[in-house]
Amino acid sequence: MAGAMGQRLAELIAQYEVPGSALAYWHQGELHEFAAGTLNVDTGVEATTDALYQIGSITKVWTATLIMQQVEQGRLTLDTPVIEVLPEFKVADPEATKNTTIRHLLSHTSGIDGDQFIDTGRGDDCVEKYVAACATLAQNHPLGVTQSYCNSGFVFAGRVLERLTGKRWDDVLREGICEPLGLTHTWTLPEDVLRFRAAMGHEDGKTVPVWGLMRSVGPAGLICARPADVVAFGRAHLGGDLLRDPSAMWEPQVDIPNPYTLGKQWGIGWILDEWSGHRVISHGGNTIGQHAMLWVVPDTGTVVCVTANGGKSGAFTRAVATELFAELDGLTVPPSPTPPETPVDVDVRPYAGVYERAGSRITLSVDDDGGARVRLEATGELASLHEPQEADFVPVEENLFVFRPPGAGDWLAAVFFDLADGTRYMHMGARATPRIS
Amino acid sequence: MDLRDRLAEAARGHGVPGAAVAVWHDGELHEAATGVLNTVTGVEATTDSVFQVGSTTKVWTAALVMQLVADGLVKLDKPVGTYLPDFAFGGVTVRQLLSHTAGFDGDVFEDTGRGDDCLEKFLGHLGTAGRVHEPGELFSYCNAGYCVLGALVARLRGGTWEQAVRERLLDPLGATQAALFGEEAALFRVSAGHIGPDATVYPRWQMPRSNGPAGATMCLAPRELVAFGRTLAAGGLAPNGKRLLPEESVAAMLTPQVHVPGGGGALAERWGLGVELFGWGAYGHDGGTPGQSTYWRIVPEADFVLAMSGNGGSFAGLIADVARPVIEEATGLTVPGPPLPPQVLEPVDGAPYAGSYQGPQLGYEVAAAEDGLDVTLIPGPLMESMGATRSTTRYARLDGESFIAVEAEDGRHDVVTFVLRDGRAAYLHNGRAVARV
Repeated sequence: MAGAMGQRLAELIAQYEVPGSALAYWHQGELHEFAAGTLNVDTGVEATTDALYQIGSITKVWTATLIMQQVEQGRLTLDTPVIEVLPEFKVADPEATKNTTIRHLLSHTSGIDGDQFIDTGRGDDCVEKYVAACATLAQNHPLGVTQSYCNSGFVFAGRVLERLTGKRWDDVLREGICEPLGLTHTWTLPEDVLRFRAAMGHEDGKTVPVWGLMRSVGPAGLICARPADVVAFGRAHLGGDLLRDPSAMWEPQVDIPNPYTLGKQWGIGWILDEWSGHRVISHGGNTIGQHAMLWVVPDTGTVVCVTANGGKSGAFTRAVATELFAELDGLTVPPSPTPPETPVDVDVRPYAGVYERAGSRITLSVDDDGGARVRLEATGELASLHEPQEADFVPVEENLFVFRPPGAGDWLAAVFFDLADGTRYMHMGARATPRIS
Repeated sequence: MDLRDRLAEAARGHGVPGAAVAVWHDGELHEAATGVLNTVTGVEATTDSVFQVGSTTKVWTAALVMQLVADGLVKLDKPVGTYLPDFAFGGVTVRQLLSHTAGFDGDVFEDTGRGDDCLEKFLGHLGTAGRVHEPGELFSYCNAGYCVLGALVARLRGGTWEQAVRERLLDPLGATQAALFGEEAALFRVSAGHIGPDATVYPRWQMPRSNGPAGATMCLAPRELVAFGRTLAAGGLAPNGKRLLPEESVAAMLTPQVHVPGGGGALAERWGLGVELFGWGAYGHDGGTPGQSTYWRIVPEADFVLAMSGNGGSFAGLIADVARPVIEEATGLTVPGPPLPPQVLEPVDGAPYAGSYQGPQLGYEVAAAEDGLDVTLIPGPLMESMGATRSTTRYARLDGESFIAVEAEDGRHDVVTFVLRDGRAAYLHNGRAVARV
């Protein structure tokens, strides 16, 4: 497929209703770049390999790398409590306030509610203000006991960088990564992005109402880049250009309770998985109508980044990875769980209830004949951007269910587990959500 | 020849990378676009594309101030300090700010950040601005005064200047191709400025937000300026029937407030409240940001409006080959071209003019010379940082107290005018008054 990827990418975007996409990969010493479709269905501007896409949470690996640079310089350690660098740091739980470490932040194990999208303005003080606005943030789970995806933790990490360097996160990024790697097509602020072709997000085939997220969550997800720059960043983790020991970031920090979605473990910033016996380090990103993925296979040196500005983008990037890695490295991407061919007999009732954390409510209801439905609602500042979704909730085995929200290409897995204190959790979309009723 | 061919040919001839024009004539909108928005990306200009419209923004800011007047919140002849007690030149009136007669240094471009507090901070920064002339004494183009007016609008309306522009002008006007922030411009095809003979993309896409109300940030498709021009021509009634301003407010904006020394060349002969009033029968404004230019004329008698934007090269050439002939053909009026030096140079008595002139941003040395004056420009630090150097130019008498550079620079002959008091020059005037020392 590799040689014909240009043609194949065009076919795949059509199949998955993606308006525009770009793909870059490094394989056996060569960079390959492809693009297909349009950046914006309203303007009709053609997608090119130089266009900038919002890479969303892939940014977290960049922020983690910047922290590791500070660690290598001896400015702090992974086990330094956040409060030691940021004396003003405070969340609702006194234990988390006192004992949350940099390691907790970078491995999503702090338990602090992660989906606080607080808009603290466009100014250079936005990250500082964000941290100040988190004093009442509750816990998804007690500090350190499991893994739950935490955007706010990476904003805290961004503020740690600002405090250590006396610079804006945007500038720390520029000086720590973009300039040393010579990345010309990687920017954070829209006024910089606008010198280039820039993708617009789409939902249901239409452009989304706003281009990007609030600046305050920058360190967790506001990089815009062309895929070739993201591939260059990935390659730098296989050498010494950014860190003396980048493999320290692949050390497993925590098992992901639901290993069927992103990977099996979390490292420092990176998600860790194993495909056909090879370690794969990766991260994805989702913003408003845009999606991107980065995969790095240290054994083979292959690095792939693919972007999409709408459509069934998750299923699309999975399809690209499945075809491309089979072709390039003979690797099999583990398929995501699907409903069993023969329905299994699992009593759904013990799982039913309302599961809630900041920004999200998941309601699992059981109807009279034992069938289950799941309802997903955004709450808080992003509520207006996302319609509630409902889907059938299909058991695969005890503690494992799958469902497919309307418009999604892939089945999503939900895993149930109990903490030592007896609280039941649903782990889905990388987040642990406690049952509250 | 149709508008598109005309624009395309002129843009080619004058090295303009991309341009767009909209013309309201005979009850119809005519639009054309040519070239590219950015020579690096190669994205084609369309009539939907947005360009930075520079100081034409001042008329929008003036309209917001006139809405405050109409709502009884502001009186034109009250000291601005009544409303903004923290403004360093609080004794000047609202009318003086609107008509560029306030007398403090207008070329303050301090970047006070991206935040909503940028105008408040800018206001504080003006404490260090220099005094140029007595309030109300004469016209001296004043960008900073419009930032103060923006702060006035923001404070009295209880939001930001951008919110007021959006809610009180753009939305009621029904303007869709309009952006005040980069993140809004990202929804559109968007022009970048190009500078120099090679039309290099200007490295900073947007000027500071703190200068927004004077023209740093607003992006529009020409058709939106045409719609706003039609609104002014209709006494404040937008083409969609919504009233933006009371009739008497527009009448006040169009009432001459001040004579422009040497007007009739680069600037109009007279100024109203925010609006340039041209002696040949039109009103409007010009605009420029680094590498982008806009020309906007309303001919009320002919129900004619033209707005044209370009992104580099010789915009003067585009005005000469497109805007002026189109206006003349449509209205039967004669639009004067830029002044040219006389064929035969006559002796000049240099005594009233010779001497030193010093403003906050630049100084001049004027000396008597054969058949004219030798004028030496002494740039201050800001101008030097933008590449200006000390240089001496020979000027010949153009008319009255106006003198014109004998040699053209960048295709135009510079004009300076002396403002005499008791037979001796008190100011050298180049659009800004520069006082004799």
